[in-house]
Amino acid sequence: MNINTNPYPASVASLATSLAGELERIRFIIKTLTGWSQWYAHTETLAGLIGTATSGMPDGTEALPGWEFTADTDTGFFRSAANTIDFSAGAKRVFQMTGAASAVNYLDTENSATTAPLIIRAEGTDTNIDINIIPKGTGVVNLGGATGSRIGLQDGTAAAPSLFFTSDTDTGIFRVSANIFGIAAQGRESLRLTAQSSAVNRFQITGVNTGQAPTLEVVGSDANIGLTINTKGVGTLTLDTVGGGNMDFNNTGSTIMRLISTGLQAQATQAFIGGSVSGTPAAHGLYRQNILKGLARIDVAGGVPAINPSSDFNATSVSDDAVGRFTITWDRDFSGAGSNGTMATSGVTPSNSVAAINSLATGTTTIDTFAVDSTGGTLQDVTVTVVCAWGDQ
Amino acid sequence: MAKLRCVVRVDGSIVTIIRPSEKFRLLGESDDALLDRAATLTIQKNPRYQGFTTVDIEETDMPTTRRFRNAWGRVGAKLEVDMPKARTQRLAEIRKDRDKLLDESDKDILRDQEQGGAKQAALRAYRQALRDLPTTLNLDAILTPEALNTFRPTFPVKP
Repeated sequence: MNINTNPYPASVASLATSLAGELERIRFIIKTLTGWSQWYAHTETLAGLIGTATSGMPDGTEALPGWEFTADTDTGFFRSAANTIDFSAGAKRVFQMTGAASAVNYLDTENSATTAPLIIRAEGTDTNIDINIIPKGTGVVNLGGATGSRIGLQDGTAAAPSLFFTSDTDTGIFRVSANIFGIAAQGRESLRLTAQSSAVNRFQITGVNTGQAPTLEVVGSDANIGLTINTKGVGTLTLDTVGGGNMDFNNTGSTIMRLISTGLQAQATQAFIGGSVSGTPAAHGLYRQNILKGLARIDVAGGVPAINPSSDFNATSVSDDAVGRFTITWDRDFSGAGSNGTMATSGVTPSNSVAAINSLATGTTTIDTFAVDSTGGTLQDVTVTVVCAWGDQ
Repeated sequence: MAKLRCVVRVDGSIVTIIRPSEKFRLLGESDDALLDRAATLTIQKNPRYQGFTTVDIEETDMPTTRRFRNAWGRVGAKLEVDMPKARTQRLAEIRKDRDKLLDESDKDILRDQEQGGAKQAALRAYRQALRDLPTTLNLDAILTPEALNTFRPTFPVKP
């Protein structure tokens, strides 16, 4: 209790009517006579101070510590419960120490010389002693302070990562070796990250909002950055759309080639297969020579022949030259009339008809159709003719 | 397709008729623009189409049957079957049928000779009638392609 005020101010004329009240008045008088700024005591405190009590100082509270500074009577230490020492400052508890009955270990703090770190150390009889920092409720443990402050860890191993989860102690991060950072799961190294000494480019993985695909990309200070994925030995590089989704190859956001569950689907004319066959072609191999370069199904149904849109690739037009003769003009030319390899297949309806090449040019193919019947080789219109073209372009 | 581009000779006969590919159409391109672009490229790539007049004709103004396609010709803003050419074509077809009967009669004469030659005179008359048949026909009296298509000459009866 602070005795800074007169318990019997002028407006209260009577003397104290109890021993406690009288003692309080005496304390005020002493304060007044000695000039001390404060003077504090209780009857029981007095007993403790003069050593007549069976125990030491009183418990006190956070507002009135059992031991206080005379110049700061709400700062000191007190006993809030059995085996507990509490420190109070400004009438508020700031620190508490509790001793367990069977404790053998304890916390040691150590100050330091200049540039040396301060130390909080576990001490005791045990060989290995953990230190638990336990926030209350869902509180967090924050480490680090101002910008530039850092947290250091020991290297750790894949089996015992330096930073791990308390519920899964063999899963976390560790240092593999110099400049190599490792991520472990189930005690096994599962990912290793490193960098060249002057690296300026890196990976970036971005999570995205609903409906979008997360991105794995390369970023950095270079204007143009490639991406290399290497396999080891003869290992296969597999990209698997597990759910049966398409696999797109894009250029500036536009799909130029798509791999679907049934094969390859060109999205635009920019899909290229540049490889030229050398020696015996591989089974099922795709080369520039065996890619269809032109396709036109010509339907003749009364009037002028038409290219069926469902079977039309690289055709500009069909020209009706005569009965049983039409010319397809290709949008993209072949490399030469003599070597383009353009050919027509006799995919013809009715079945007793044939188609033949009348002439080839770099950008055109003229087809003659015949009915193999009594007309004996005379040009004849047929209902359907399918023209396929291969060759260098 | 509204129109097709016809490449025509001075006499109106058709060199070719160009129909664009639908897949050649650019996004939002009109029929006329598509036809012009495709036809220009087609003529440029086919030297045998060059040096002639071109005319765009509505497809509805063209014959709907190809029976006499090689006799099509430009008449004003339309393509029609040129009847003299169609008659020539039909007569050639009749001659072809006639020639087939003549070929068959060669075997009949040989067979008859082996059997004594009793039908030689009749067969010779039959063959002469076949040879004369085209000259006996007056296709000029047939005035429409449809009638020309259905016209069937009366061939002499084989003895």
